[in-house]
Amino acid sequence: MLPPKTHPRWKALVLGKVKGPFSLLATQFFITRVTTRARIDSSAENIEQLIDQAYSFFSKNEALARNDIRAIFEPEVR
Amino acid sequence: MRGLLSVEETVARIKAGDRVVVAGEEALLRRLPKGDWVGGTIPYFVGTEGGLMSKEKLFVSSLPSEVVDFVTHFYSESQLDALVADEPQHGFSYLILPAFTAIHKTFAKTISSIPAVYERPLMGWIAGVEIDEIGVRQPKVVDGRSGRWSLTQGLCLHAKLVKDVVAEIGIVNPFHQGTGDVITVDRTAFHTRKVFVNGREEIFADYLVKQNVDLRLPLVANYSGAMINVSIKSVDLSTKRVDFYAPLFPDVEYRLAAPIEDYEAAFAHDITKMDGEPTLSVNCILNYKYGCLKGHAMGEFIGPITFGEIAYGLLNQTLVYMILRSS
Repeated sequence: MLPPKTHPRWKALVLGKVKGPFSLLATQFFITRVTTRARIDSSAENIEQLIDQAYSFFSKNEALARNDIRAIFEPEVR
Repeated sequence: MRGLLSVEETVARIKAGDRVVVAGEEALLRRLPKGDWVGGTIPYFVGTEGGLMSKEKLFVSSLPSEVVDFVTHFYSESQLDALVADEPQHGFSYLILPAFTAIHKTFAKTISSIPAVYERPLMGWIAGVEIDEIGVRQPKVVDGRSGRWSLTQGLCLHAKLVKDVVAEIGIVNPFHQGTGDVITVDRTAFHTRKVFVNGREEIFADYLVKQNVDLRLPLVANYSGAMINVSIKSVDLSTKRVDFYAPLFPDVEYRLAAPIEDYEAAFAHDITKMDGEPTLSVNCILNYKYGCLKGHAMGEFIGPITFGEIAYGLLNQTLVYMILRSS
């Protein structure tokens, strides 16, 4: 079960403040894209959209990305 | 089942109802009957004995029993959003694009901008021809169900999986970033004249000569831990144009790869770390051309050697695989 979108680690993730390590290739590509987008446009509206995308990505990949989810939300999930 | 088969053996499998992905010479693919298969042209393969070129054999990969059903669809370069939208909610998509086409280039340059592209597994390869026949013959894709061929559109097989199995797409890349200069560009393109070296504008062709760069070494970017290559295709010193096998992107920092003393050993080292047997895999023509695949076995990582590998986006000099895992 993923933490809600209001969890502060989602914002930290898209702002590039969560360094991983990430192991799933899809996660590695995804994180790179959202952190790059956040760097280019750090408006609240864009960050909110990126958090939505991150939540959607991990919802659909929860089974494969367990270790990556742990890396993001540790110690809450671990 | 994955391996090199004769046309007759492949025909028998298709007639028996096997659902297969086929890679091989166009003349051989044209001898296959309609059925549950998709294909693309390429005469290079990694078989159980290692890399080889063959105009007599086809590389055939059976879809596993965990595939409940699949659909096939052709896409043009303006339909990449639809391709991602068509990906099954629970399954994987296997895409073959003909090399040197608009969709090959548009896919490489724009697929990463589609928001949902990383949400569902997408792998595949770029169809090609014998290296000596580039410019003479055209790479093609074919849908075995309809018998339709295309030399301009991509063909995607969207496969649904049983409920308790998921598909993981992964890569094996023997290259890592070196410790040299940071290279950046200011636009997305398959070619460039100028780059920024540690932020300072330079003519890239002159830089490569000045640094005595081994052109077999790709530029490598670090995507949150994944090493992603862009291989150098050619350097024209008269026009100062440098061409690549994949696009360079702005906002990405590249470094030339660290030299590899033993290409094959580097691959083997990474492969031994894998857990699970690949269901599908593809490797790169440059790894064949530069010497590490020809005649060298790659364990379970057998499959076509292609003009570019697809793992969500276009990759170079990389092995791409798919493993099915219990969820």
